[in-house]
Amino acid sequence: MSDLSHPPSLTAPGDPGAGEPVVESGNGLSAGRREFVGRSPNQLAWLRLKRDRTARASAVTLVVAVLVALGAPLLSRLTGIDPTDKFVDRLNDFGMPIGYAGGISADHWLGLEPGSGRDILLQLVYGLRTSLFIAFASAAVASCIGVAVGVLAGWARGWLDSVVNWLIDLTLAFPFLIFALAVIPILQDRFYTDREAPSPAFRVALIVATFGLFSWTYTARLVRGQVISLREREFVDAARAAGAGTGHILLRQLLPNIWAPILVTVSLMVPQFIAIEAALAFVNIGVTEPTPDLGRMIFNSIGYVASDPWYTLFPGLTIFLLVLAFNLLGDALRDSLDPRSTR
Amino acid sequence: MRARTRTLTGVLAAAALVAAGCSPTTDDSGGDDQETRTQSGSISYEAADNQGPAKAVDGATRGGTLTVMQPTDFEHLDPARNYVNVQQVAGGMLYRALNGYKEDGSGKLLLVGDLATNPGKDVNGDCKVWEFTLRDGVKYEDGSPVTSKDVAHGIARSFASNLNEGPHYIQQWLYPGGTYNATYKGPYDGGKPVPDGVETPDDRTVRFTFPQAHCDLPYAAALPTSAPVPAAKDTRAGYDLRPFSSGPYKVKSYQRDVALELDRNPNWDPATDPIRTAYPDTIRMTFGLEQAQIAERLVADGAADQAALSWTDVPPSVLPRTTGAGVADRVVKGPTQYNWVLNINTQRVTDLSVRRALNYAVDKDALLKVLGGQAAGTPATTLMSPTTAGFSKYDLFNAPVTGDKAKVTELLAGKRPKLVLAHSSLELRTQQAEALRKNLTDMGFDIVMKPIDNSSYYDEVGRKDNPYDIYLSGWGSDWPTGSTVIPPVYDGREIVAEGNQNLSYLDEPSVSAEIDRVRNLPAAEQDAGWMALDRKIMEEYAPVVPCYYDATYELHGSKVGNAFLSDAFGIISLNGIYVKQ
Repeated sequence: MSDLSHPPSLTAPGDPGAGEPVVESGNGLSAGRREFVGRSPNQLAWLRLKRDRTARASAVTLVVAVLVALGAPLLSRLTGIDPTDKFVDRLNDFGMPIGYAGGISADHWLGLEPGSGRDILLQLVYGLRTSLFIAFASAAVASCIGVAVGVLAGWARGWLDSVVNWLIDLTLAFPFLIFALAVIPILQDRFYTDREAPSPAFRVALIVATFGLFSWTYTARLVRGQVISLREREFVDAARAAGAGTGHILLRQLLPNIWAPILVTVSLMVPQFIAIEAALAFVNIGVTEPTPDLGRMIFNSIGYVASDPWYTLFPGLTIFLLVLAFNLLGDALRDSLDPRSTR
Repeated sequence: MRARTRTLTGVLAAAALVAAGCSPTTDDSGGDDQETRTQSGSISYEAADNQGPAKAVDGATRGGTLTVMQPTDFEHLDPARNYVNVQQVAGGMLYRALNGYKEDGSGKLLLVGDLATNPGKDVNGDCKVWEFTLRDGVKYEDGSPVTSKDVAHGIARSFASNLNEGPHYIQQWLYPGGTYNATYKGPYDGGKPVPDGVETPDDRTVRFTFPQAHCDLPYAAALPTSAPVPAAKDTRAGYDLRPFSSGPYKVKSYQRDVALELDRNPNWDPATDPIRTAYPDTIRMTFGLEQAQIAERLVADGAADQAALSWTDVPPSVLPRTTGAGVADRVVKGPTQYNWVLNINTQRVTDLSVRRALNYAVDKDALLKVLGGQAAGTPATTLMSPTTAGFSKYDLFNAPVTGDKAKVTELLAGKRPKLVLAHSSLELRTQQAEALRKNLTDMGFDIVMKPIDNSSYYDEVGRKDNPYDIYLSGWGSDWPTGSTVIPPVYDGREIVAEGNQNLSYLDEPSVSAEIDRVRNLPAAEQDAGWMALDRKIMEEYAPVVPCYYDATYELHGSKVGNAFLSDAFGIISLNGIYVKQ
């Protein structure tokens, strides 16, 4: 997963505490007096983000996607269709959906899957659920590990720092896919007997754990750098002189100053996980039947691109929009947090 | 014959996105209903059938290069190791067995003498001593004559433990009881040059003497193990790559996993061959393309592929594109000898009413539609396929093709059996298993899906103590009689620790006794005997759910002439094929 370790360059945010002098000049000029409003860097970033139309559009897309995913059971109840229901009678003798555009009808808004006869809409929204959950959970796990390791390495100096750096290098060099191929089936056999199917939650947890285990390195490096640059600062010295303990300095003094870049990495990690989770389906170690999954759906649909393009279109379009929205939002977030970066 | 390797691999079709059609997909997919052809297979001793040359095909032209596109290379071409239909058809271009199948595409299948002048003489009329007389004038690629000693050597070497992949009917019959090569281990390393019971009184006669009656010998002699291998040319394991030709073609070049090229054997005399016409000058077999790529290329029918065909089925995703004008007439389809059943592990599922309930429950329509519907097969109700001689259709359960819930509920009587469904992890097989899971769950079973890597699927379910309850498998007869279906698949005495064919592990003395009884019936009564036993097994034990009779759906290019489905092999025959000039 070497691509995970090379996200777009990310410059450090402005000096903490030394936020830009106030530039906001309300609507005051016409009123004849200049009103100075004090704003924190975070407030400034939020303002910049709000003004960014791309960011707004991406955010709306994502909120809709999350709502749809969360509301999947509602949709299932509304239509009376379970995602695993098979409408084989609506397929012709070759197993292709009967009707226009891949079997789109009043009952099946996005048509049916060829071969199995499942409702594409229901598969899609339930699959979205799986994909989004895996992506968010993996990003959370990776970030937590990354921050913890990064802060430790940056603060500790000396041999511990070297060891952590060495560990990061090792993880970066480790081939992710081969690891996943080797470990996921073995762990499955370890926990489940020949006559038990691994529960979907177990499979998802395994994937999340694998992602988390391999994706913390970038965050860790970033955080380490930040901590090193901050730990010699006057406010840290001041805190130390005032008798603050290491825990206080790390959690209350340093962390609040580095959350912004962490947020950006999370927003960039999520779309990568969505794409990689889809790729796992191609090597049979992703989420297995009968749990609906967006990645696997795309994998299955690719063969039908010529004979039933609608089947390929809907899941393909969904993942395209999702990844695009996340990336654009991540970029916008970075721009707003770091006004010095060129646009 | 082990289930044909229907390559249901996941494919990344590099197909161009065609604008979505503006016409609706209809229920009529352009394919006419396949009437199940019943093989009118018979053994012909008629001189007209047994005499060369083979009847000329109307409009056929000599010359040209025929291309066969295959996803994977043949595992074995050595006649002693050749047990897969595509290999047998390819091998049939290179070497001639004692007997062979004469077909013309009309469904008429005749077993005639190939190397031999007729399909074998039952010397004493008790099916124990069989004699074959070789044709005059059959020559190898170097011009030397084919002798009966070479046929005997071919059979002898098939006992060698490192050449053990082929069929072992004759071998087992020569040494009944125990493993076929427990006593005689082949002519190598100091072994006898020929096994007991095989004699060559002169250069043109081969005589088999069996301890027991085997009226099926003419069929067994059509398998490639009876092809001649001259001892001087025997390269043992290396023979796989360069069989010494006694047929119309010889190996010109063979690059494993890339291509096999055959050109004419100048010493083959059409007058000695009642089966093959050998019209193309060269036959080129290429390996390595994906199943969908092959199908897309044959649909497109580009200049380079017009004289090409493939023995791999059109995958479901390409099927809808084969019904258009210009493509539909290049489809070769029809039933094969394979029958797919859902095996019920009778060691675990001992309750007969549960096994019967499963027979009412399975939605055969859903299983088929995953694979491409009617192109993949037709729903089955029997153990033997309709291509078996003496087949008569019966349907004990009379359930609708999508299952009969009321009957299932009645038979289960409030129970909810938990069954472990093992399946190959290939994409389409997984989808098929998921269709079955959903179907059986709705019918009142608890189903646990267990994916098994495709390459070890038959090894895993073929273990006697496997932990699974139900699993699909396909089996095809080695020749069109019940004797290569019922005994290998339903005789409990054949069960061993590993590598079983009896996947339901049905071990009933009454079935075994009946098998022995039918085996000893006069040849004319055997077909009906097997059919009656087929029904008896389903009626009394229901060890499997017959799911679908396999069908093949293959494509050839527009310049391929006389491409028809071989009933003996279930794929396009090469025997009368020609390239349009």
